[in-house]
Amino acid sequence: MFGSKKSPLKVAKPSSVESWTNPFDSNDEGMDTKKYSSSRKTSSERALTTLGVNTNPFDDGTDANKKSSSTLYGFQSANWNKYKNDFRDSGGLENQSVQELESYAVYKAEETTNSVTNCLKIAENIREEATQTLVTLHQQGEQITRSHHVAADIDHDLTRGEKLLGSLGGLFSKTWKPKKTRAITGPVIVGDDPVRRKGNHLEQREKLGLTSAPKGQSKLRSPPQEPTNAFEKVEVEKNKQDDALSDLSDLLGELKGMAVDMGSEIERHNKALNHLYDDVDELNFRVIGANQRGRRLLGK
Amino acid sequence: MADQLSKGEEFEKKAEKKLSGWGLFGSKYEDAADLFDKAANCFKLAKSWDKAGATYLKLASCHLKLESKHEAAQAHVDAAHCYKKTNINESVSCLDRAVNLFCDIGRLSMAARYLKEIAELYEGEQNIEQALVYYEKSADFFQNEEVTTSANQCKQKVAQFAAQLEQYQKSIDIYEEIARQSLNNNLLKYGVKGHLLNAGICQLCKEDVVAITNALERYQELDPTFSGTREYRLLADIAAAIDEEDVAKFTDVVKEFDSMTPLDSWKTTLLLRVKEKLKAKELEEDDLT
Repeated sequence: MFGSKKSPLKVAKPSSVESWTNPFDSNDEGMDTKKYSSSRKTSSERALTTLGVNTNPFDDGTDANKKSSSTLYGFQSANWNKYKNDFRDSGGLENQSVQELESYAVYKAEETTNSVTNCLKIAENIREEATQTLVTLHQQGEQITRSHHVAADIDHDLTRGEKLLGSLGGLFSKTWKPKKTRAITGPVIVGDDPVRRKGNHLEQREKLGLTSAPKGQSKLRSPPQEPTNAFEKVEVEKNKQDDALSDLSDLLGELKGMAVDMGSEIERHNKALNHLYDDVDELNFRVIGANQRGRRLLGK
Repeated sequence: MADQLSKGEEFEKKAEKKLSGWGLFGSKYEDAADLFDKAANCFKLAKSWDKAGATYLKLASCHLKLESKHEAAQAHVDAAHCYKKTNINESVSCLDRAVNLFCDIGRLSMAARYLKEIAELYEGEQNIEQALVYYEKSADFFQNEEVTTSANQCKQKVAQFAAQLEQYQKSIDIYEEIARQSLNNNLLKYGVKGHLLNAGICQLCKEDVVAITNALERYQELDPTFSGTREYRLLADIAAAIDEEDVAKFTDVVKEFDSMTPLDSWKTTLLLRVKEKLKAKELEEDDLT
């Protein structure tokens, strides 16, 4: 039954260059080498294009002559193109000299650093947007509470109006009592969960030793000396990646906290809106009754 | 368009006629108000904004004669919205009158809202001094009505403009106060480091290294997590650069921060001021040597 089906890898016989797969890739990645290489290419190209651009208003142009980190490592664009397609045009990894492979390792390390830094930037942007969203949610919560307060005020005024409508009418007309199905509760402020609230209090957390100790200067701004060999260069890049990943981890933790707070706040809003809806519905019912009474009086 | 314009003029004439005639128990003002309202709507449809604004002002005076201040205030607001298209100053004066009327009838939240609108108009006209004054009034009104989020938004605007006008201490006080308030709120606590960064940048503009260091210590006490943030590192490194009078270090520090979180125009302006002062100091040093 399954005999006719061939393995997808054996269907098309690729040329010797294309059949080569990265020995460090996992097997399933090998299937989609083409698909990945294009996206990888764009990300590295993006990294390349950003190197020379200078848009910072604080630049004096003094360091325009400074070489970028990549050129410090002595890469020419020709080499970069070679690395970008993983030496497919020059016989694969196996046929490269040790020096070439070292340079390739440095290039890959730099590319990874750029990717991690980009992730960090994206996370920072998300964090800023999330902060704004939380402020808006807080404002919305306040507005719901204020609207409910107004509904309670309307209830007071309506009660007085109903009394006046009840006292109107002829001498022999039967007294009118407004229909009320339930009392108006007014805003039910659903506070934060006190346990969680206390747990979140920064000073108490610090006393308990829950807050992570403030990190020192995490970024290796100026390494003690310029890395000389490829191994040192890769180590420097790895340190940069570690710092960036550590920052990213903290940011993602914070984003998780934000998401939880957003969720609980929206839940509070839902509860508050349910109460508000009930009260407004009751007010609506009473206003209709008062209008009917008014019409009846005018009809007489 | 022309059709609506002639209709509007017709309604206006009828209204004027009503006002000049005799009416029973002030009913002439009610009728005139109705006609002025129709006329103003026609002028709006004809996009004749000045005429629409003027008609709304006549409508407002009718409502005042009838002692319905709320309607009069609303008519002034409508007039302001018409004048907004052609004459900002007239728009502001209409909103100002509306605010006074809302205050008279105790509608302070409405007054606050329109004070904020006046501030926004001035801001649009780049009249920062007046914008600051009205944002401050608006914040005050919102605070009285316990609309804290809107109050804080207005206060932040005040702080922003105060810093632009080199009233740094005022700006610092506002940002620190907002940060203090935000710490006690589960939703607003995430914005604290942003407020402290703004306050810190204003501290840097004062160029008092001791004050900056003290402020950073105070911010750490206020929010124990602040010392681990990139914002804290930026402020501390800039303070060090100012202390060492090292422009290159200052530039590197700012560039590194900007590469991760692009600085907005307000921060850029203030940091450029700091840099200019630092450069001037460096030049002085060079002249002396």
